[in-house]
Amino acid sequence: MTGSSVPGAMRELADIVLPDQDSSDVRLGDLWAERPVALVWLRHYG
Amino acid sequence: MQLHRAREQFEQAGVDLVLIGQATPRHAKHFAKKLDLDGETILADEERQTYKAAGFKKANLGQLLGPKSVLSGVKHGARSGVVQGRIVGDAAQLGGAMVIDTNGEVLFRQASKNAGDTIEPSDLLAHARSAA
Repeated sequence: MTGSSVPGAMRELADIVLPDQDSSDVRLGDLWAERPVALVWLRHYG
Repeated sequence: MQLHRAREQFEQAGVDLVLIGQATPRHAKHFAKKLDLDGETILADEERQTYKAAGFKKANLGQLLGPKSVLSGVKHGARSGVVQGRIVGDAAQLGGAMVIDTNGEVLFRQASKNAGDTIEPSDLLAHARSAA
């Protein structure tokens, strides 16, 4: 999924909306719209 | 370097750090308080939509309980001082990491191979610095 990427998969990821810890909705694509982002998917919290 | 303590270094590198977990916002908030992650963005993906979209797999029994997994987990715990708590969500779901630039291009992707396989914050930071 790196380099030239899989455009469809990234589009799908970008359009997903998740709540944050304050229950505010965040569209994933907005996370990298202005600045690069490092996303870390945890197996579990803590 | 612990991931949650590395936020400042990511900011200095011009890269945002966002954590995603497979539980509810309430769990995310509790996690944020527990590790003093004020200001960090923690997303709650209870249905694991983003895990699937990012191509992160579920572990089989060997990847959950095998010697590689256990050893990785013990090493990580010893280095980090963070002991695994109760797992909320699907215990077989593996995680990973990505660095994405402002064009939406994935510059780096790591998918965990077993339950104990987690990226070192310093490695992620090195990849993040190349994005800025």
